[in-house]
Amino acid sequence: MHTLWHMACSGLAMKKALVLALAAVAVSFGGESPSQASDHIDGLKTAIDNAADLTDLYTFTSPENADKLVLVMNVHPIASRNSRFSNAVDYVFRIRPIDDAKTLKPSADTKREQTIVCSFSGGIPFVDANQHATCAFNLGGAPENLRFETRKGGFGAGGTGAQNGIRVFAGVRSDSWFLDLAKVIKFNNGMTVPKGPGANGLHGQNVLSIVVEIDKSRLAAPLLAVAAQTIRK
Amino acid sequence: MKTSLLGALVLLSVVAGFGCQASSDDSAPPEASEDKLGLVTGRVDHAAIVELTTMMLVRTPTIAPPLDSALDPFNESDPFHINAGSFKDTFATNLGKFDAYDEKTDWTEAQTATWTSRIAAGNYLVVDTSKPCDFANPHTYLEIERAQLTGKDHETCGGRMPNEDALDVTLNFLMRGPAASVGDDDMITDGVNQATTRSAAKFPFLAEMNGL
Repeated sequence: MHTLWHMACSGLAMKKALVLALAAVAVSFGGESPSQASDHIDGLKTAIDNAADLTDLYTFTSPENADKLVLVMNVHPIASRNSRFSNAVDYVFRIRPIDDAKTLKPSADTKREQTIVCSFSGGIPFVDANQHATCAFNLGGAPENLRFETRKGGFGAGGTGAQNGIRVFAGVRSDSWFLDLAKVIKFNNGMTVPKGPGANGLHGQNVLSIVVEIDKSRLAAPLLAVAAQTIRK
Repeated sequence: MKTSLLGALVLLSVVAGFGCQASSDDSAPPEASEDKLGLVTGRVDHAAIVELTTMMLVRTPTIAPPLDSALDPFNESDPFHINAGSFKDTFATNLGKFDAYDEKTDWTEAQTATWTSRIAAGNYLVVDTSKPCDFANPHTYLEIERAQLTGKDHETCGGRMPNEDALDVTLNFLMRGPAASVGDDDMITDGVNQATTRSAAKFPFLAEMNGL
């Protein structure tokens, strides 16, 4: 393990580890890598930094309450029950108002940006996936922090917190992305793709998810630009 | 398959879980809970538009995206301030390739310029919280952008919902143009129309993990 750590700390070994890992993943998926999927494993850095590899972003009016907006960030492809958020990464929802519906350009004024920054601590790799989550809401006015545990609240592999009309979940969820990987590779290469049913190349896979539900009244405008970002500290 | 997957997970987890310190002290591995890789700090990734890197930006689709050297710089950018000049030509070239897939030219020059300018400079979803979002029957992904490109007013919340087939929306948008819709007689599809388990209309919406 010590020798492996030294290997892992060299750039060359990182590439070797990546090639081995990708090869293993490719074999696992019968030759198609999930790196052709949505945002999964879409670069060398994200292939190595799995816990900071974003896979999908969703945003929609809550089906439970039309006055609330939901933001979902999925990260860490091929997650398992014991997968953890990185303790060294900030997981950020960034929101900017769009003033002109004709141009759809987000405001260039950085002071008008609102952020929700979730960070994690604790947990032990492979042994204890329970982490202390802190989500900092910078929506204008005084910043607000929501803290919770990621293995609490009756979920098999997740936890929630709630305060002041905000709900947050963080934990392992079924990967919500779906596609026939072999067909997408053919589409990408301009090849003819047979019609008919396909097979979901991510069937049975999991991701780590952060789900935030927040009052729409706390957001800067009705028309918004929303992005998810991971930043290693 | 499970053994290979486990092997990949172990390899990636060991690399990610045991960080590298700047010091050359050989006495012991660093604190495992630090999760520091040592090689990478700062921005790592951003996500919003589906398949933005893996389909629309990748330059060599026969090679796995992690090996395309354009993707890391794009992913490391500020999603609200990407250096468009570095990527716009590639987005335009790839869009032309996708548009030619059905042997018809569906994208106008003006639409191409607007869309490639947008995605080369930023990666974000557009959501209108004042418009309807039908979670049970979602057809909102890219609706706002398509309305803009075709000179119409948008009618839905846009954004993105987990049960919508965003891959089919993307295929038809790129290959049949912004005026095309999923559900048309000549729609293009990969034939997969839902995830392992559909998301529910109850918080936290995404389905419970598989293999719990």
